Order: sequence, then structure tokens, then C-alpha cells
Amino acid sequence: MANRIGVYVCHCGTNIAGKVDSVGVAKFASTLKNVVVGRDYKFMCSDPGQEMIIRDIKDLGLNRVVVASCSPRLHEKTFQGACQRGGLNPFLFQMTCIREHCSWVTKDFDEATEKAKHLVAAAVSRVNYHAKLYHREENVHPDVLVVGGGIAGIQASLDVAKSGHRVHLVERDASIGGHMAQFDKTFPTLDCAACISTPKMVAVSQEPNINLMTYSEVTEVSGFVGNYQVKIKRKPRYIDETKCTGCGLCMEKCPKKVLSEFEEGISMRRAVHRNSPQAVPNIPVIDAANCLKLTKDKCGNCEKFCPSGAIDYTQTETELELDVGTIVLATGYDILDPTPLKQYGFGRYPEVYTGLQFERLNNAVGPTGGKIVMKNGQPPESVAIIHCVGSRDKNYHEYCSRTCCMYALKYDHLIKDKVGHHVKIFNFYIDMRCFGKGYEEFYRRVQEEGVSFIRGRPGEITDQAQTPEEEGKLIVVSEDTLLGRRIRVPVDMVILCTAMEPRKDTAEVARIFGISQGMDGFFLEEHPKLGPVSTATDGIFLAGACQGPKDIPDAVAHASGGAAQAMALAARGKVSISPTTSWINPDICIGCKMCIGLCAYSAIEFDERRGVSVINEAMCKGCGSCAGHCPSGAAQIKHFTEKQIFNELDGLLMAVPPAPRAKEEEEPVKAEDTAEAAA
Amino acid sequence: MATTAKIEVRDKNPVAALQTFLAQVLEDEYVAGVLAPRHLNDNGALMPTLVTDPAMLDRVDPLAPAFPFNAAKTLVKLTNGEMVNKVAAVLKPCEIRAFVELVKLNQGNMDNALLIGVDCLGSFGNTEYLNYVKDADPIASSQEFARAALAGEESPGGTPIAKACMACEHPSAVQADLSIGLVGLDIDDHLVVSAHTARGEGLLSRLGLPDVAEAPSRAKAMAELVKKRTAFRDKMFEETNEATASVEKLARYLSGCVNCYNCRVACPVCYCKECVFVTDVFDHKPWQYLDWAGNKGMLKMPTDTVFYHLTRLAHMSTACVGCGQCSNACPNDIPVMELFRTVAARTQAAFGYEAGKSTDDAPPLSVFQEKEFSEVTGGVD
Repeated sequence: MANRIGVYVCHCGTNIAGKVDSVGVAKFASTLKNVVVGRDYKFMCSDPGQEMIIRDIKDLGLNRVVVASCSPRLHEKTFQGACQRGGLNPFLFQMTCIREHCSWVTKDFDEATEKAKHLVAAAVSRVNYHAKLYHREENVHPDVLVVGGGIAGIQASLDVAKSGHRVHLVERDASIGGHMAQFDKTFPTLDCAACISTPKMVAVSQEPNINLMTYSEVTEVSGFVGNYQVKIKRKPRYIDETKCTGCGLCMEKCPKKVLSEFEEGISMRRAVHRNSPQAVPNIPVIDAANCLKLTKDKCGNCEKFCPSGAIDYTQTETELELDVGTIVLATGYDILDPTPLKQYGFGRYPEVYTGLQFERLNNAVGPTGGKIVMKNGQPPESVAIIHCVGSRDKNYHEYCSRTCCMYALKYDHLIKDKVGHHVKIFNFYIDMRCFGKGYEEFYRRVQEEGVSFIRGRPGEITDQAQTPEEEGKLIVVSEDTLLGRRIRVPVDMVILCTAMEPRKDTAEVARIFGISQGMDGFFLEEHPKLGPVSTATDGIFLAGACQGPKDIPDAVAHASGGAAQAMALAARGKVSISPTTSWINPDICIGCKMCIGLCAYSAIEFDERRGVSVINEAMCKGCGSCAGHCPSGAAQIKHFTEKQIFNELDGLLMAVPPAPRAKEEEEPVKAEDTAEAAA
Repeated sequence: MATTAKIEVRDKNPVAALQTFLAQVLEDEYVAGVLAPRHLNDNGALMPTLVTDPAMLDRVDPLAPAFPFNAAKTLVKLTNGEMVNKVAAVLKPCEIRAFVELVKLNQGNMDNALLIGVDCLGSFGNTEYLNYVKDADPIASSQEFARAALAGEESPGGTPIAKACMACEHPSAVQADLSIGLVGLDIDDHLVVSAHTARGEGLLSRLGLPDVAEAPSRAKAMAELVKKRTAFRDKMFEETNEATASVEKLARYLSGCVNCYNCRVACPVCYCKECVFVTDVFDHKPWQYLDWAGNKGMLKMPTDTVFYHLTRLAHMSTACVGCGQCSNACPNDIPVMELFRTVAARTQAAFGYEAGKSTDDAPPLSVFQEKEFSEVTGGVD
């Protein structure tokens, strides 16, 4: 039996009809083979537009529908839904784009009309060969894996746990808390970071639905949305977590001192250490690379003094496997090492600090007990804060790190507050970006506190004095671009607002989880505006600064978004798998395995017994890499089969009657007329 | 450096010397059989034959200037899958290179084959070969051909060898486990055999043949032969480029095509189980033919001939080894080998790939390189 096709041409107001004779295109469509009805309408996506399709399916017995309107990215689902409501399988529908691909990009009215006819002919030719397809459902494992225990990972874990689902929170470090645990105050409200983050850290440790695994890393992920298998490596702490009471005696007795990572290298820690007394879990770790017992079999103080017998030098790395349904990645960011920016003298001049070092200097539990002092113990009389170090700089990172302007303002205020109002502070900035809630107000407040703002990126920081007042100071050499003058500013202390950058091992983590990195190196979201927490891999979501530089409010909001996405899948317990996946015809497949290497989603396996490649439909995204390469056409994407595509091409190449050349001045009149006639 | 040994020739009968050599290979028991070209009877008909009994080597003739089909596909059948015993295969260099491509496509299995390549002096087309042999003793004819070809004769016996052979710049099989050398030698005195792999070395040492130094005359003669063939090839590329420089010219070039698909069947690297051109994708409806005719007022039948060749080139030109079996199989004498080789040279150069060179080089379309073809992908660097 011949197909019965209905074709609907949209005006989209004047978006399409301003450049395309929609009425003429609909008339042309009705002359095409198997087309039963061709109509035009002002807005096909409106309720009356959809009703028209549903009515025709019922009254005219349509078994195929073509809509020529905007991009399928926008309304394909709308019209598929209309078909379904009319009793037609949604895959017996074809949408062709005569707006973005035609009316918006073509100058000449007749040319655009002809192009629209070609596009409609292609869609009609193709839809003849469409087949019914059905979505498939897979179960979703209710547990959620959260990777990274910074503020984003903590927020995501707590949100998910609150919904009643079990969370496995994996943190690489010995304690959760992330970078936020290093901060002192937070902008713009100046509440103390510990005061607002430690309750959340404690909540994680007390939440029965959260299985916290610190000092652990994910090493392997397999499976697909709803059904991931995860391998986790648990590094040895050499301290029995079940026995340790967190008294801290071992740290007092340990004789071996090394530079502290948590203190950003500005003070020492012991070989057995923990970040702070507020660490969660409050259990130290023994650093195997520096422990005298583990390296040289000497000392053993911690074991001797431990009152609970928790020290266990025999611990080894263990591995465990988990099943989870969804994964939230909250792996955070690194701070750019400013050493390669030699002009700023970091590492050469002791009074040049990174932002994070200054946070520690300023922190009540930091090495100076929160006193802002120089290495000589004296408070600085003048401080320069250099913005955009490695950010907005095409030699390092082109992007803006989004947090530096605000934390620089925070430092301005804290220095004035703690050291005294006489301290001179100079901010060297490119642009002040104070875009968040209460941020502009904070900027104004700091300006009123008498801080200097100099627009210019310093070329150099030097200790070579040229005048007596520069003696013994660090001199910031810059241009003040507002005055158009070269300036030299002598200061006691320099703070570099170093860029937030992707973690060093982002590429490796992306490989493990099967997701991508953007041009900036951070994990790539599914869509920059409409999908900022999902990834191209179903069931894997992003939270916080692993997706791009974020301040705390943004990271927390992003994390709650990731948690909500994970929960949506976990709560429903089912996931709908698109049927437009690849299928490899085993009768045609010759088993060359080329498609397996080409599949970016690891969705193809080789069946050794039959000697053919087989698609895992739950993992296949229907991208077509396999089908594009397979010379025999054994691999084909359902809904994009060779037959369908060749017929689409055939329709495109069909001769269409030329549109009568319209006179220049008649063009707009004609377009409006047709639009009104249809309405 | 490859080990080279000497194969003594007695009574000016190099084919007999090769038969003796192959008998020794069979007796070594490293392989269970030898696949080699063998005369079926006295009329010259010669086919790759799997020989397990040394007595049956008497009609085996590795020097025959015959090339009924590319035996790489035969070797695929003999090696694919689990095997207890290996098979030695006496092949032309282009057959070995085709086999290398098929191994990469997971068709043949190199572990199950011991490849013995023989210097190729060129072959006749199938009908030309039968005309060349006529009523003469086929093995004697082969030896005469070899002597004439080694002496530099262009058309031994008045018949030119296949154009693919004249344009072949790979007369020696360095990818094989063992290669037998003729070029630059007096084949009535001795031949040489060189090992290029560990198992080739192993077998050669077990056979106990006397070592021999590589004669300088051989390297010189080989260089000259390659030079002559390369010049022929480049001229062929130039002429073919000119003859197919536009769609119209290409259609004219292929106008004799009757969609018999013989070139595809004969092609050793066209490995699909089912070609897309025999599927329903090209099963057009009667009204479609009328519509197409209506577009231009006429429609040449059969349809899709140029499309077929373009598709085959898109699928296989990166794997083309230039054996010329496509032209050998074409019933209408379309110079398909010339076209395929010309296009293949360009596609392979574009990817920096040489078909059949090594199993270590992945087929170009199976690997992704972020920075290749920036002129096509929009110059992202």
C-alpha cells in the first residue's frame, strides 16, 4: 500500500514567510509522490497547528508526516508528540528546517523558496522509508557516586542523601572540604569559611545515607546510564579508621617535618598529619614517602604513643567495586603555579604570595594564627594585589577566573581591618568584574575604605631600587592605563591572584569517565546554556569548578543542579533509551573490528563466537562513526539508514519548478499577504 | 640485516630448485602445507594449490608469469581462526601486501601463515598468459619468460605484461618471512633466499642452506627495475589524471561499465561480505527511474555506474595495493587499474600511509588525529 503523507509548511510569522513563499511550497509539496495533503500555517508549533496534524492523521488516514519549519533542535519533540497523540509512531515523522537553513540565510526570495522546495522534497522522499521505532526502558540503580569532596561534592552528596538515596562520596585527599577549607573569610559577606563549611562537612560524616571514602580514587568506570560499575582504589592511611580517636598525639610525637600542602607550602607539617583539627574524617594519615618507619624502619613514635593502638604500618592499598546508577563529578580545580611568570618573582622574592597562600596567612588556624605578617614577623605597611595572573592572558588561560576580583576586594578589606587603616593597598586590575549578588556593593564599600585601584597589568616586580624610598621594598612596575603613565609602586608584600585552572589530571579523569574536555581544559558540559550540568555521557553530571571557574555560590548552585539531575534518574528508577542507535547486521558484518576502535562511547563489542561486532544499545549515542566507516553498511543508525539518507539526497537533487521571479518591490507585500491569508 | 642463503640450481632448471626448496620447507614440519601456484594440467592453467605431499610439488611453478587472481583472499580462508598448524604460502609481492591489509582488517591471521615471497618479474593478463604458453611445456615457458625478463626484454614472447606489473614499484617482497631473489642473478646458476623475520630466520637456519653475501649486482638491478617501473607509473598517473579531470571526463572514462562488479569481486582488499551495491539501497522503484529520466530527458542504463566506482574508491583506495586484478577481470577493458591506482596514490599520500607496507600501520580511517587536514576541518590548530 502506498504511503499517505501530510506536509505542513510553517510561516513562523514572517521569520520564514518573509523570505519563503510558504503557500507555494505547500502547494508544491502536495504534488509530490504519496503526498495526500500539503498545508501551510502561520505557526505550526501552536496548538491549532498541532491540532491540524492530529486531525489530518485521523481524517485523511495519514501514515507519514513532514513539517517544514524551524530547526529540529527546537520543535522536533513537539511534532513527534503531536503525531503520537494522533496515533502515529513518532518516528514516522520528518522535520525539515526551512528557517535556520533557508529563510534566515538566503537573501533572494525566489532562491529561498526554491531551496525550501528542495528541502521539502528531500524530507518527503526520506519519510517514505521511515520505520516505527520504540524507546526502550532500562532500570536505574538507585545509588549515586559523587567524586570529589570539596564544597560542590559535599553539597551534591547532602542533596542526594536527603532524598533518601544512598551516596558514595569518594575523596582523593585525606579529608573532605576542598579548597574552601583553606579559605578564611568569604566574599562579599565576610562570614568565615570554616563557620559555614564545617557544619556541612560534619553533616556528611553523620549522614547515614552517605558512604564517605576519603584517601580514595576512582580507577575504572564501566557500564552505562543507570548501570555503572565503578572500581575504587583505597590508599593506605596506615591508621586504622575504626580505632583512631583523632586525639592528635601521633602528630605531636612525629619527628619528621615536611612542607605542608594544605598550608600551600608556607609552613611545615609532620609525616603523620591532617589538614586541620576540623578535618572530616578527623583521622590523620601517614605520608609513606616521608615516614621514617615506612622508609627506613626507624622511629615508630606514633605507634609507641598512640593510646588506641590505631597505627598499622602493614596496611596496603585495597580495591573495591560498586554499582551505581549515576555519577556526579565534583573534582574541582587547581591553582596556576605562577613560577613560570618570572616577571612576578614568585619563589624568588619571599614576600610574593599566591592568593591561596595569603588565605592561609590570614586564617585563624593557619601558620600565623591569622596574623597578616611578613616572613620577618612584621606586618606589611603596603601591599600590591595583582589581578588576572595567568587569567585573561593568551599565554596561559584566555578565560576569566571569575573569583579573583572579588577575593582581591576581600583581601583589601581584611588587610585594612586586621593590619590597620594606614596600610596602603594597590590593586592592579584589567577590569573589575563584580557581577554577583552583593558584589558591586562590596566593591563600593572597599573603594570607600581607601584602597587604590590601578588599571594596568604590571610588567615586572623587582627589588632593584632606583630611589631611597624604594630601598628594601618590592617595586611593582606597571603602566597606569587610565593616566597613560608608567609607574613604580614600592610595597612590602605582593599577592598574585593566580588563575583557577583544570586539575592536572583532567584528561585522565575524562578518559576514566568517558567524558570530554572543552577548549579551556575543564570538563565539557552538554550545552553551555541549557545543559550546564549534564555531559554528553548519559548519567554523568558535573558539579562545581571542574566545569569551569566558579565562586562558592555558583559552585553550590551548580552542585545542587547536578544532584537534582542524578536524583531525577534515581527517583524514577527507569531510564528511557533512544532507539536511534546503531545496529550491526550480523549477516553482513565481516568482523573487521574497525568500528570498535572508532566508537567514542565504547558501545561496540566483538562476539568472538559469531565473529561479528555487536552494539550495546544502552551505551550507543547514535553518532554514526561506525556507520560512516563500515564499507558494507552492516553498521547502520536506526532512523538514519542508508536507504533513508540516499532517498533524502535523491529528493534534494530532484528538479523543482522554479519560483516565478518576483519583482523587488513586491517582495514584502507578497510575504505579508500570504501570512495574513493563512491566519 | 637479513640472513641470505643460496639455493643451488641444477641443470639450468630454477623451477626444479624451487620445488626442492619447498619440499625441504614441507619436510621441516614447521608448516603443514604449502600454498603455491601449480599447473593443473599441461594446458597452462595454473591455480594456487594447497600441497601437503612433497610429491605433488612437481607441477608447482613460482616463476609462472600467470596471475589468475590475487591469492591473498585464499590465504585468508586458510588462516582465519584457530589453527594447530601453519601454512606456508608462496605469493607475489602484491599478494603479500594485500594479505597485510586483510590482516589489519581482522580477516587473515599472520600467526598462522609463513609468507614466502618471490621476486616478481611481472605477469600476463589471464588470456594473454594462455596465448603465451600455447602448446609449450608450461614450466619451460615460465623459465624462458624469467630469463627474458631478467635480460630486460619489454615483451617476452611478443606479449606485453600487464600494465599493473609495468607500473609496480614493489617487485620484491620485504614484508614476507622469506623472500626468494631472482633479480640481478643468473637464475640458471643459483637463486637466493632471505629471511626478514625471526621465524623466517629460524626456518632458514634449520634448512641448512649455505649462506651467501648479497651480490652487488642484485641491488643494482633491483634499483634499475624499480626506477623503470616508477617512471612508467608516474606517466600513467599523469595520463589518468588528465583523462578523468572532470565529472564529464570520468563518466566518459567509465562509460563501458556494465555494473558486472567483476572488479570488486577480483579486488583482494574489497572484503565486505555483502556489498552495499547489491542491497536494497540500490533497489530503485520503477517510478524513480522515470523521475530521473524526466529530470534530464533521458537516463542511461544501468544507473549508478560512476557512483559505484566512486564508492569503491572511497571505501578501498587507502588499501589498494595496485595488483591490477580489477583490470584483469574487467570484461570491457576499462582501464580501472589505472584509475584506482592513481586515486589510491593520492589518498594514501594524503594520510601518509602505504597500503601493505606493515601490519603496524593502522588503516587511516580507523585512527583519529586531532590536527590532520586542518584545511578541510576549518584550520583548527
